[in-house]
Amino acid sequence: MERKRVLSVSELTGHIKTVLEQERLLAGVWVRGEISGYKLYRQSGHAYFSLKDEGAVISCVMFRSRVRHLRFLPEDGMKVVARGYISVFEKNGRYQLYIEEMEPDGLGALFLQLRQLRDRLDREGLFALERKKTLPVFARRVGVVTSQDGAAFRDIVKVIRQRHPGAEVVIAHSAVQGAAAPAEISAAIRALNEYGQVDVLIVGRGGGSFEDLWAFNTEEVVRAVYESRIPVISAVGHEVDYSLCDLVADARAATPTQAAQMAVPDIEALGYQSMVLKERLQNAVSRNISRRWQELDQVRDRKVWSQPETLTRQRDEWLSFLRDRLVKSCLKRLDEQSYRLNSLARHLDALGPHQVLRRGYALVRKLEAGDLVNDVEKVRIEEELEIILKRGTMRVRVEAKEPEKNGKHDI
Amino acid sequence: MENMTFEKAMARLEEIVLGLEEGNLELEKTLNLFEEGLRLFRFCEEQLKGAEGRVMKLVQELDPGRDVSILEE
Repeated sequence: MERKRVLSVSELTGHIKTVLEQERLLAGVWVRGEISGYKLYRQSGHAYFSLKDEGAVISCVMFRSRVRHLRFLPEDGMKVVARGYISVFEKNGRYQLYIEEMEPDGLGALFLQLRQLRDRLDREGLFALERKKTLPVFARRVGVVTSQDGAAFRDIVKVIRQRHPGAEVVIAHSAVQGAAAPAEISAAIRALNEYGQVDVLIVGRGGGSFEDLWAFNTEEVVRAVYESRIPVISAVGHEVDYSLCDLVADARAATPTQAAQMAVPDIEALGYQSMVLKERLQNAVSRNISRRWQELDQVRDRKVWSQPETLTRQRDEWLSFLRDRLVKSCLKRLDEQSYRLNSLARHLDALGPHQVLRRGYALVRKLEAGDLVNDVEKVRIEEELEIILKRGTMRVRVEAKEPEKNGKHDI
Repeated sequence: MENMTFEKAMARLEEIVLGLEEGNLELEKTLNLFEEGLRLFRFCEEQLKGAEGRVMKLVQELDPGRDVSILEE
């Protein structure tokens, strides 16, 4: 026989837990019942209790993060509607309802209806972030949709006066609670859109109970806000949760006072800011110009401008160098020439008659023409001639002459 | 000087200075560059003076009582 597989307690419990968590109905269930054995643990902040009716009871846990969002104080015997999921707490083997939101019953129906409306409008895209309009930075006229007798309106006017004395407030009165409220609020929003002379709308009221705020959770108001061409700030005073009006509006304020702050700029702060910006602008511009002057001065300081002679100095130097060389080489050439001249002169001297005369030879010259005489045929008897010795000259007369024999002298 | 901007003029000035400092350009070219450089200086100075003037004018338009000496920081 085949032996059945034996599970451990943990395995079995784990399996049950998985089965329960995978069951779609149990993953997000609405349940109506009466609170019993409510206990809130101070330290952890978690709440433990049961929900029961005539036929059954179920253990419930509400963790601190969920308890914080409760809009009422749960008590034993209170009838409620709760939403949560079923899971198993393995340590004690009990299945429990892990509650995520809970409302008193009666309101519960309204609450459910609201959630359903929210989901439907959300699917339709009315809350999409990408279609939200930006609030004007310098709104001068603010349209307000609220009760003209309410504290909300007084707060809004007060804050706007403080921040921006020049801004105007246009009120479109409407009831903010009661059966007529949804129609009046949407009519006022449409009226201000038709009027068109306002830069931004504030739609809202001071705080109130869930029922008090009901008008701002109606489809009629949500659609009117959605269709507004003018940006809408929702100021439905509500600490805990968003109203549908908050979700569809272009901006959400926690209080009317905050809405007014968002609607108009603080003129004084703005003035100061613009003064600071102006200073910074001027400083930036003048710094920019100063820096350019500096750049220009730096280039101007370069040698080529401050001492432009450096541009031609090299050439000057080269030129004087060449001039020097030219002069020097000329002088040298001149020296050489004069040396040669001297030596030639010496040479010439050596070749000249003086050296011969020194040795005792003489020159004979005719008196009239000064011609040197080297042939007896050129002189006559009785002619006077001049004889040049090394030292001095003398005059003589020819007495006789004898022609050359054999072409030779006797010397 | 048409289409000339301060930045272009400065860039050209740098170029000219480098060229002149290099020192092996023809004399004719050297003189031409020197002349161009001086012209660019004048241009740059005029540009800056013009810019300062415009800023001062704008500052005064913006704030008639204002001491314009903020420009001489």
